[in-house]
Amino acid sequence: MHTFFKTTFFLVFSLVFVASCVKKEWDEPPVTTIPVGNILTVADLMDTFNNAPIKFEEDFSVYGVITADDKSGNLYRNFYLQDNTGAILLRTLFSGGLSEGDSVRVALKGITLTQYSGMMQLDSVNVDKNVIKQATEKFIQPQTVTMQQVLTDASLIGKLIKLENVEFATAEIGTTFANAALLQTQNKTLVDCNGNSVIVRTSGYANFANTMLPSGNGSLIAILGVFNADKQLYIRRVSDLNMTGERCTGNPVVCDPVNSVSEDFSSTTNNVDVSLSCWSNIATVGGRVWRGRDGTDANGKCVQANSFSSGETNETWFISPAVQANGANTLSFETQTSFWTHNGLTVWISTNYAGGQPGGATWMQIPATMAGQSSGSSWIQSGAIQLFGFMPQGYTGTFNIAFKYNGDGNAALTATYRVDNVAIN
Amino acid sequence: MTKNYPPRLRGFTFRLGLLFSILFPIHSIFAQEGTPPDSLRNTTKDSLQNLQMKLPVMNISDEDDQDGGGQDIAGLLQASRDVYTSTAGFSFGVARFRIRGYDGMNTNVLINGIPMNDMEMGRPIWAYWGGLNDVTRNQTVNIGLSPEREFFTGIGGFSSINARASMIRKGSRASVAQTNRMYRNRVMVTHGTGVMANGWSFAASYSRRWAQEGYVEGTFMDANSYYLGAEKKFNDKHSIGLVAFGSHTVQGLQNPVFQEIYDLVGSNYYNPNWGIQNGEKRNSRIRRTHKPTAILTHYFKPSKSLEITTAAYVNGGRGGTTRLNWYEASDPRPNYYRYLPSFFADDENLRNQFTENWQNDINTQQVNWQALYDANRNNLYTANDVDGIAGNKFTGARSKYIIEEVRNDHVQYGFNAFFTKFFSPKTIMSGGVNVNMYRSRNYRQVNDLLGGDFWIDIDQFAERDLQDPALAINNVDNPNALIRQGDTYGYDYFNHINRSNVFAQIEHETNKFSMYAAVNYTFTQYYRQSNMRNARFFDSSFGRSETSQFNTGGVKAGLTYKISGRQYISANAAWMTRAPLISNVFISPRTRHDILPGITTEKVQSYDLNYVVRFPKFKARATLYHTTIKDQVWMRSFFHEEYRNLVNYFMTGVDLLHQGLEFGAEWKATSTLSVTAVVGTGFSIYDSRPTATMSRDNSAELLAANRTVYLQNYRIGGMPQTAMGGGLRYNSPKYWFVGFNVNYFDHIYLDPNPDRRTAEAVASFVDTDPQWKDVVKQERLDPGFTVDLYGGKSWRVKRKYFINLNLSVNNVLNNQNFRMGGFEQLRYVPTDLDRFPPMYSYMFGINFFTMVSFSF
Repeated sequence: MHTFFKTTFFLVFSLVFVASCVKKEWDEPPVTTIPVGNILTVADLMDTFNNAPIKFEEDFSVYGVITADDKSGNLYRNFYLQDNTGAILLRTLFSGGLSEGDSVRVALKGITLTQYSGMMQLDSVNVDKNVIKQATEKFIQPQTVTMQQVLTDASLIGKLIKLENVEFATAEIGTTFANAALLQTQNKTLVDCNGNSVIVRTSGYANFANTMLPSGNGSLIAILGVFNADKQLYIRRVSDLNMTGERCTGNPVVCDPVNSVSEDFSSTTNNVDVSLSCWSNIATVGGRVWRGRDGTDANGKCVQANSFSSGETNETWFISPAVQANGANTLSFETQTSFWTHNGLTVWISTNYAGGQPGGATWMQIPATMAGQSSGSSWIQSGAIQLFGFMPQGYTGTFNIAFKYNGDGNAALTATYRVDNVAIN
Repeated sequence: MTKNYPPRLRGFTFRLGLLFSILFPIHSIFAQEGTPPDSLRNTTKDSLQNLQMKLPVMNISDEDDQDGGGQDIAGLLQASRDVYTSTAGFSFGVARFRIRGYDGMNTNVLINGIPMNDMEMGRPIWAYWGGLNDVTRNQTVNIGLSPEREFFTGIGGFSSINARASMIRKGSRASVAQTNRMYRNRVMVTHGTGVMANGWSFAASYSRRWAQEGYVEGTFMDANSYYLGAEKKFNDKHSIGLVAFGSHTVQGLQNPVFQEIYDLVGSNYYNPNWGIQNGEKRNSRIRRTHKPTAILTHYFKPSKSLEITTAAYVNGGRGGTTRLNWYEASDPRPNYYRYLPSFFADDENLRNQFTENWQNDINTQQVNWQALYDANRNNLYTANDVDGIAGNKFTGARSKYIIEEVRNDHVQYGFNAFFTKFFSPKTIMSGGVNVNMYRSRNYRQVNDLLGGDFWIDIDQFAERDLQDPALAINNVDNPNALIRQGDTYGYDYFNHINRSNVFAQIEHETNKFSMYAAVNYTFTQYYRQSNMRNARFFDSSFGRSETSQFNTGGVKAGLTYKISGRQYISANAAWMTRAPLISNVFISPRTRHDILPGITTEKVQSYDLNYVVRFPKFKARATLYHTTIKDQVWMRSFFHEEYRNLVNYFMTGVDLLHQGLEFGAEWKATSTLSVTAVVGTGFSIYDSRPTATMSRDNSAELLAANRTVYLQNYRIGGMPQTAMGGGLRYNSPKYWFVGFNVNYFDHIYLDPNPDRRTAEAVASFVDTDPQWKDVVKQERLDPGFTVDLYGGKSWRVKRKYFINLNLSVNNVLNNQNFRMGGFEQLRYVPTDLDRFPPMYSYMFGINFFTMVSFSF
């Protein structure tokens, strides 16, 4: 072919293939080593501190194990580091990056040692640059201490501790760790059986903020913090709490809200006043309350109320345990009447009943299909009754269902009413 | 706003406005600079205000995708014989001018009669065949409404490329080009045999475009494009042709930033995507595309008056763009708002320190790769229950930072047939059918662990918001897997699109009139099919979704009245509906099957009126157009401050209005000197108050619904809505030419962030508070002007070879302060708008393209 043609193509292809490599692959950059310098213990740091912030300009290192991280959201950019001599808070520039059980070296250059309201801390820690991980899953066991030690032993501050035989104060039961809806931090009082108490402080951002406090007595693992004169406990996760035992003598039993109720009253006794755990059986007028009954029909045991020959006016409430609202709750139950004289049974719901006398709460009546004049001895099914209309929109608190019997003790209004198979879902 | 026009033009504008107002329903346009066009205070549609006619403009292609094709596409449009179109191509394209303000989906590209618009994005993606100028130069370009015998084309017009092997110029051609835009070097070689005695034709072309670094720092490009064509003519009735072409493109991208950064670093071409690694610039955002096409065509001419073209084709390949991702770590991008001096408004020391770092420290200005590697290597981590096996542990360096590639790989099979029947030379009927099956796989893939050993596939937002850690798992069937380089994670689903289309068209011509009418019907099916079961949507994430179907159609018609052989008046109209894009149908395709409630078809109406003169020494065209597009869906994902979450923001009922004028004239003053003048101006505005819905990937709950967006009369942003150009060209009889154009661009607006135009956004202000206005007003960018030069010369050597030399220089005055576009960040704080300020893009300063070609 023409020389010209050949020359051109030669030039073009040499340009393409020789002079034009566009880089695509990358070598990894060299490893950066962070000098160790002098090694300090946590106790050394504490000793060094003299009420004024210290910024480390030289290479120093402190070794320790991370006892609490910020994964649950209860701590934010706060991590606790513990060694054999003590514990200290690491405040990081960014969230995340350290896990409980990480055995680390903290290179102190650039970090400030300071104290905030009594808590010693290493501030402005850049996890990427200041923390060199040595190993993982070197979990530290909590130190078991008494409430008295928590309140008085300053050397425990910052450490992972375990308290035994403690419970949340009665007034706190039925509440959540914090206000998740408003993202508000809340303090809850934890008590022992000797009357000592300490604060459990939980962030509204914690992923367990909306969890109900446990109502029993038992053990709790937490980080011990301090805010000026107040000691505070920070929980890492709900599973660090094992509080299902009997509460301290003298502290009243409390009932946890339940997610559902399914009660066939098989534990009641015939003609004995009903005393079911966490159910309330209260006469507000007259003396009669709900009693157990062994039915002869297929339903077997149930509960009943009547006013026959009581010689008084009767109003008696049978109130369910508190149920956690889920936006789609339903109620179903069965009723039967005997010696019918009047429609003496009504069903109610309250979202603010706090136990004790029903009079202090607001109740709304739930229309329901129930036994009446023409039902004879049949058990009448209420069917599933939707409850969301009886609660505020988006309601996430608890509610109680009440069966109220009214009679007058005279022959006019004395009908017997029986209730069975109450299911709240 | 007429103050911006020279006096003569003002009168011209006024008369056109008057004419326009007679011809079309007048649309209200806002009056004052800085006044929000829509008012949250008015509950009824704004009344007519102060109509001011703006002159309209022309469109190239969407340059946003930076495919480097802009340089090539401009050349395509320049090939048009219409002076308006060719000037728009050469001089306006670089300013992101869009013809009539239309989105690219309104324009069709056909190659050998096959519709090439991307099935998922709607637009033609020029990168798929970029760099093949030698074989795509045989083409018909038509803007606006027009008849087309191969396909029912959209309101923006079409480009029909004929790349049959037999149509490639016989002989060889080689060219070498130098430029300084997306790429710096281009070589291209092409050879065609023409139709040989045995009936065969063969053609091949290859080009490479590359740059170690493009105009913008840290960008690069390497694109290898190829074309092979073969055709056999059996007899006068039958020919069969096969073409295959594609472009393998690797490109380092630029992202726009806000003005504070441009000012800090002293350059309006700052690029945040790169950083120094081992002494070299490494770009974190790299696009790799290779989606070739093969078309087998049967050309059948059973009689002199009938032609039938039948084709089967396949198209597809890999597409993907890399980006940084991170977990439990600080944002590695240098332009993150918390790393800027302005973030420390209350702390002078920090502000000064960050300012100094921004001015002097490369690792503040750019990605600090070394720090990312250090952080990853140091992040020792024990993964538990690996692969879902209880007790299975692995300890290693868990990457905090990775480069991931967001992949979109597709395969498309199609069948296409159309006929043209000449009942007489003056009555022509055509029609066709087109059937497509398209499937794209969308997933994320680890591209580089940056020194770490593995990555774990969990969703950070779900981990933060949901107490149960199991719900953060993206792939329930492979939980706690250690994700290594090349592994798929996050999501993995197919978008399936089946689309069939039939059309018919009739054209008729008389002595005084010519006319056409066309009708079309399209059936579209969409469904999602996921390979990953997401823990948050156990029952609705995996497998196949329900099918979403759309029946759409359209009619268009046009009439031309020939006043004389040299003067015409024509009018066109079109009414059509079309299916929404699949990306607007599924509200959170990364996690689930849910379909946007109330999804409906788009309704398009378009009218234009044209006056054309063609004298030997004077040619001109003036066009008025009016187009409405109703019921569009607008969807973006972004971080919403109010919800502290990544939201998918949908607007339904988005109506657009485009109206305006195009004018182009060419006067041959002498046999060698010609003068051109081009004006395109119009309104492209939002013409409704859409309804916004917000969802998020991690919850079926809608964060917000039925939120009214007061978007009426806001300008569509990101492009000049006015462009004007004038030029001189000298053609020497001695085979050389030289010319220049002066261009003016105006009415460039920032595209509004819809959520800022809601009652919720201004809820904390009374309406007399100036902050109210600041939240809702629309920013207009300054007008700009540029000067372009071009020239060329041809030689004939030994009567055998031709040598052509071409040079063009854009923005000769090196204006580096011309903002050609921008957008408001979707993330915003109503009470602190400067926290997330708008992003701006600047037109390149002086840039050139020069080429030497040899043909023989």
